[in-house]
Amino acid sequence: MEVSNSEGLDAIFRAHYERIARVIGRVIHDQARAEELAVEVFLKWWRNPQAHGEHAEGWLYRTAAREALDELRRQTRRSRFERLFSFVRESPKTPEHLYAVNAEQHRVRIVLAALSRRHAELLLLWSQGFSYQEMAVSLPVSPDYVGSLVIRAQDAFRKEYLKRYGNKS
Amino acid sequence: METNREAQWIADRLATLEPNWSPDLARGHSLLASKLVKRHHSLTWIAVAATTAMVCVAALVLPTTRALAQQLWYRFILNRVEVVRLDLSRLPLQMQVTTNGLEQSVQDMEEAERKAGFRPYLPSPGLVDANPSITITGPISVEQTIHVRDIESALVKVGASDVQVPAEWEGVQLRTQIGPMVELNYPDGVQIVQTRPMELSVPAGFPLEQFAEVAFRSIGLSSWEARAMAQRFAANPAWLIDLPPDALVNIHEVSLQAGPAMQIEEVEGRGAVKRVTVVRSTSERMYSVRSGDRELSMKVADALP
Repeated sequence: MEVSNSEGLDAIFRAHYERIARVIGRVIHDQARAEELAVEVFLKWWRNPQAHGEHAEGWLYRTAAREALDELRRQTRRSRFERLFSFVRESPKTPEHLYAVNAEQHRVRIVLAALSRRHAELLLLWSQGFSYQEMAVSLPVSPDYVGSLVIRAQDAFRKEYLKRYGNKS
Repeated sequence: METNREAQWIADRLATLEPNWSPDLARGHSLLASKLVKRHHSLTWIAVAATTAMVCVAALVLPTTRALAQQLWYRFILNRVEVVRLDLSRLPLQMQVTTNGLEQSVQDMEEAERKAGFRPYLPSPGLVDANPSITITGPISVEQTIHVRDIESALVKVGASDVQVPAEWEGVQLRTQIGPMVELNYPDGVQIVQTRPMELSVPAGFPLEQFAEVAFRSIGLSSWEARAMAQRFAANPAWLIDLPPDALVNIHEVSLQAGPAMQIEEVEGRGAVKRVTVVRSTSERMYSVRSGDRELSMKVADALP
């Protein structure tokens, strides 16, 4: 995709916004926050001329995955911090929170937050249905290695999950 | 086989993350436009879109006898510019920005005229060399909605406990149409932005001056300041560009042969002038000329009809 300057922002936004928002939405449960982060990804792309050109799409998806995972890590750190102080002041739990702590998706997010960034990015794009070719462009790595990288990432996920939650449910 | 089962198990875990909502393209686009407007906040006409709230305030204090009354809306044309030391982003109004696309490049002045709806003026030959790159932005429509509770919260935050916000203001909308704006960028760093005056629409019968004063109070102006500003704008309404009080700029009124103008110097930490913008307006055009040289900015602004 050749995009020469800011005029391409509108076109690339319309073409990729929904998929980008979905990638982020897998990690960030809150729709409003996920959509806000998705918009930030496009703004970063627009401000970074080096990201334009034929690798624009790959850059967008890589950045989306990173933004989502960074946000997830921030949320995880905050939640850890809040737990430390829960002895002093237990804030009322919202229905959303009560749901999330019991949900499988919460476990999966915790595991993703604990993985290396590269492994988490690979799994995120893989689970979103990206082809090996698309993942190679996004990350960027040689297409020949994507398969083995995904297997390593899956292995890391499985180990981390079992370490935290025991037998696979 | 075992590997496939492992992969499927992981895929199943990750599938639980699939969001149960669908991305809203229209809302995303609106958010993008809004953030872009804020990004251009420094001294370009696009900045004016971000400051529309205050522009509306300026319009709201227009004497109604000077308004062109419509059946349901009063429409105002503002063609004077003023720079104020306020942070208008704090105005507690819900803002929805829509555009028919964002910036678009055009090849020449003919195409610019077709897309913008007016022929851009150029400075006299010799002042700036070479051909500029040309982009068109907008038109931009800004719709602002009053929420009484938001204004009340803002008033509480600034300690303006004496101000009452009428409940019937809830949901009132203020509409602004800006641009299209033509931006000319020359290779030597000179930037000229021009647009026609913008149009504001407010509901007929809305208590304009009262709202203006409340809006000014909600961003921290004292009762006296808010009233004085309202009166000043009522006497001579202007399109306001806001510069937050902590922005490193010097603002001067200057007198050009073509008429009065505002000169805004962006200053670096040690006091050196980085960029100079000259803003002036006529009855049918508004100009912003920006460069790294004070004299050049003034000459170019003066050379525009």
